[in-house]
Amino acid sequence: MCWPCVFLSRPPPGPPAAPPQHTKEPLQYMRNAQASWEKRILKSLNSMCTELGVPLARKRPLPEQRELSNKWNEMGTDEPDLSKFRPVYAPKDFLEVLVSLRNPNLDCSEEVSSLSHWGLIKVPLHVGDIPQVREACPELTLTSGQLGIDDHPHVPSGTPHVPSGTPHVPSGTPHVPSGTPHVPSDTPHVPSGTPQIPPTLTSPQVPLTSPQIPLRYPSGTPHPHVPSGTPHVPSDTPHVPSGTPQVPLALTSPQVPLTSPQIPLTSPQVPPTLTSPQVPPTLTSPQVPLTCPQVPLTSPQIPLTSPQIPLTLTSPQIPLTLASPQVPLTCPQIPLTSPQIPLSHFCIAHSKRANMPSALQIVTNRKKCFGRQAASDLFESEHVRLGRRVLGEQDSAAAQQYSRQGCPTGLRAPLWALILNSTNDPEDIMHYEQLKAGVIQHDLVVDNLIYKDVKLTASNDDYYFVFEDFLYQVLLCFSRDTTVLEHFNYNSATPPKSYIQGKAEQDEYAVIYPPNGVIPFHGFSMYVAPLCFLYNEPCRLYGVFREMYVRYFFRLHSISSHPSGIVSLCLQFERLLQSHLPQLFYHLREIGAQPLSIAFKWMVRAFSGYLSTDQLLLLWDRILGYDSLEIVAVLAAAVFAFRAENLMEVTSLASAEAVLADLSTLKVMPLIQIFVFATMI
Amino acid sequence: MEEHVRICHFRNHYELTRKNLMVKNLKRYRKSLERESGRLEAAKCDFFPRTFELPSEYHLFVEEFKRSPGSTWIMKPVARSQGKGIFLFRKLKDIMDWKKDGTRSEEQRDETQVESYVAQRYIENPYLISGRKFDLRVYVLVTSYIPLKAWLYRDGFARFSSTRFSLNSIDDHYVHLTNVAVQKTAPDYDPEKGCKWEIQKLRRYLTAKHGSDTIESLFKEIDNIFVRSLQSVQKVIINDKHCFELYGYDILLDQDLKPWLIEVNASPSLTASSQEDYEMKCRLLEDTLHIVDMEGRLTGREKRVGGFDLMWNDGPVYRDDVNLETLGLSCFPANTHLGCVNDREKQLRHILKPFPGQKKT
Repeated sequence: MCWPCVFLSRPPPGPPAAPPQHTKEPLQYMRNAQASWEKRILKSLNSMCTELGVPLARKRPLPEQRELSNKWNEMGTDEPDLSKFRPVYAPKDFLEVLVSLRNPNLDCSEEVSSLSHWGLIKVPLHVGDIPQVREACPELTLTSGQLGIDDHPHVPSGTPHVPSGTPHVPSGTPHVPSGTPHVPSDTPHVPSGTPQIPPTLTSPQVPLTSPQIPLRYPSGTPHPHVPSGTPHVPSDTPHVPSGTPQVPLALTSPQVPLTSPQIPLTSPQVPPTLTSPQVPPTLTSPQVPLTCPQVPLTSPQIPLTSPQIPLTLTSPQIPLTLASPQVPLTCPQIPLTSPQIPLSHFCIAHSKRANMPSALQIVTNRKKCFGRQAASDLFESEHVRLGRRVLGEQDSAAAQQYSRQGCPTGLRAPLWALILNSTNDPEDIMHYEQLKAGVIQHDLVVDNLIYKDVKLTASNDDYYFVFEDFLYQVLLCFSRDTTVLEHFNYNSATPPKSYIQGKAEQDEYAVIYPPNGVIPFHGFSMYVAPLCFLYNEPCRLYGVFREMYVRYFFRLHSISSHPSGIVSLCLQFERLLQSHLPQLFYHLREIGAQPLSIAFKWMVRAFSGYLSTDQLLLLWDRILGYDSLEIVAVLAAAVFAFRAENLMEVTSLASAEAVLADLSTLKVMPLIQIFVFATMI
Repeated sequence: MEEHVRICHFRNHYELTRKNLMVKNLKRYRKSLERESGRLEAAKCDFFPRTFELPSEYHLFVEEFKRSPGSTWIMKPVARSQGKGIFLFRKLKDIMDWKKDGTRSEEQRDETQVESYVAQRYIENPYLISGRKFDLRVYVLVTSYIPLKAWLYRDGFARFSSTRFSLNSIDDHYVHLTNVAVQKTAPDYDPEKGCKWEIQKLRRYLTAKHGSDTIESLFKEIDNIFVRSLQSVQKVIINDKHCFELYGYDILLDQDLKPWLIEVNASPSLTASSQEDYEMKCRLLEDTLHIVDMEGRLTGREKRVGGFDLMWNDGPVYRDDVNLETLGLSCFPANTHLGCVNDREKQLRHILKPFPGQKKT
């Protein structure tokens, strides 16, 4: 049998020809796990059918066919009795399976050490850490233009913006009494790329570390941002989670005077590598009054909480803690009066609330000087122009590259179709009509699962409820589409088979059921719902959805070792948290709130239904642009980082979930950018 | 009336908010525009469906009705609201029956006056989203008629009918009327689900479907409706500096993305159907009170207060942040932001003077 190797990113099997299942999934234990998971799903489906006494499929009598075809456009008005049907499985059932995955060749001792993995996923897979993500997503740097940062790409902001001169004050309160987890409403403000921004945003940190004040930072989570080119503080000491998670997180938090006795301000280990030559000479700004009175840099008594001294580049909620206790961020060689350090930015940047990402504000304020709105408007209008050109050229690869910086709302629909090579030709329309005829002729049990799922999810969503009919028109056709079967050549899953009554286990009587081989689970319709936003005609909508499914979404519910597979995403999420927010991870783990148990539902749906639609589409732009789902794991980790301060105060799984219950106010691109490019590594 | 008193209605607000009077005023305004500025200018007032007052304009209506056979019309009692007493018809016979019915019931109730109705050409090709009809509810605040000073609120919502639109079932009220008051009584109405989109969502949706340029011009046309309709009654309404009024405009879009003015409400419903709705209406009221400014915290020169943008101040109001690109164009962007981000708190913090006696923070 010849198995076409459809998936190109995997090396073609060399001689001797690898067995086809290796193209699906090279690791045997993954294949086995997937197979037994499929068995479980099937068993569940079968037992439900037996229980309810309904056949898997039946031909509809003619009157019923007529009725259905009459109300094709308003299937949502039908209220079939679905109380007996239940989703075959929900994401949390699937998570249990992933958690129990083991590599038989790896002895994973349960003993927790700083080197062991603290998460739920116990299989070793290669997943990208922040450096790899940076390398993979160079377009997302803080200095390159992005849709979804300063602009309001969908709804014109139209804000005659607040007269500049006053610093932007975040609305989130810096300190929240424990017990009532406060969910921050504000989002970090990342300026969209403008050439004016000096590439090294962290230079302001440098003067902080005068020889007189060898700083020691509380053990903490994300490290201050040291971009390439600036001195990097090696954290060679293994991080030991401090037993006191109450150690204040934010250096800049007014509640935490750094002169407190717990945090000795002296540290003998001054890394010798930190020398002044690294201070980029480009940062000169002669107009800056270098003797800025607000920054008494020479005084050893400076309380570090002084709002005039911005410490790091982080979001308000990403705790501003710096490296582990052993790593003093000192830099004795830098002369404090160095003319290269634009001290003025300190003064501009100081915010009334000390938990503001100060360095970011420098940028923001700088941009204000240059006309921030104008800069982002400029990028936006240029980007729209470029988008039109890409569409004009009908170049799929260019469209994909373009999508990495986000698609403008008005152009997204055609751009996505172009990236996915989804057409709306007469053949496509005919194909869709055939599928529709199939729906009208036959009634499948999975239809009820689809109905049920739409009613439970999309119809209850205060945004997607309008699209109920579209969802049926797409999902019912999808279940009959045998062209979807092709994706099983590179999917670790295998389409389930059913047998004609009385001929069980005889292969010649086997048929794939449902015809497309995909049994929908609870939340499946949320893969389609956001697309309804883009396409009016069910046929186009269908084409784009099918392509999205066979390229990306199937990976979110099959067990495989693929980098975009759900196992890798979970592992990547946990690794990112463990290595960059160890204190948070440790705290959550201790209170029995494993981060993955909260984030899994987001990732399995690629955040659909959790983010607001405009933000979700911006995220999916990047999935298409990078042809990878990894960004989903990165975002999940970034969400935790963003709300870390609040999460550190919770004491139970329920309150942790409460902190993360509403993601609809998040702005995804700033979160991702800050997490990937402003976390010190 | 004492100096500090404010009243939330103008004395004869019904000139705009009663269906028959609104149409009368608009027709008159259109005529005077045509006389003074020509047809082109007058055509800008063609945003309301053909409407006749019954029984007074019955003959005119019959004439028009016969001119367009097969069309659908809608009958609305002029003074009732919340969708009460509304029905659709296609044949004159139906309306005859109604006349008989109506008179009989009037007799029974011993009322001397026949209730007047308007017959309005029904918009047969409304814009549908996933098969559903919807209309827009937008809020306009008028603080003075002479000179005309009107504010447009950024928030609003689209109300969806719960069932699918089709002209085959003209008896089904639920399809045709998008009033929440009517929808609430529909058999499958689920208050939890809500039938509303915030106007921001709608704007996003439309932009995704039709591109931003088309939608910009659509919203510009909607602005035009507000201004023209207010101008049409500017001379009739008794101006009083103690009065202000918050209007709820009902706008319908058709498939060609043309906005139609359905009616104006003087006391828009402020009951909330959901938490989101509740918050929006609270914001609306709060900002209305800010503009009325009983506390003297504003300068009176603001172009924006919270979610309200000054749309007309004895002439069009333009945006401040005109950038280089638009500077060259002949028309400035109007200072209206319907369906835009409403970051009112930040803005309010900025413009409001502290209460007298309150320390500046």
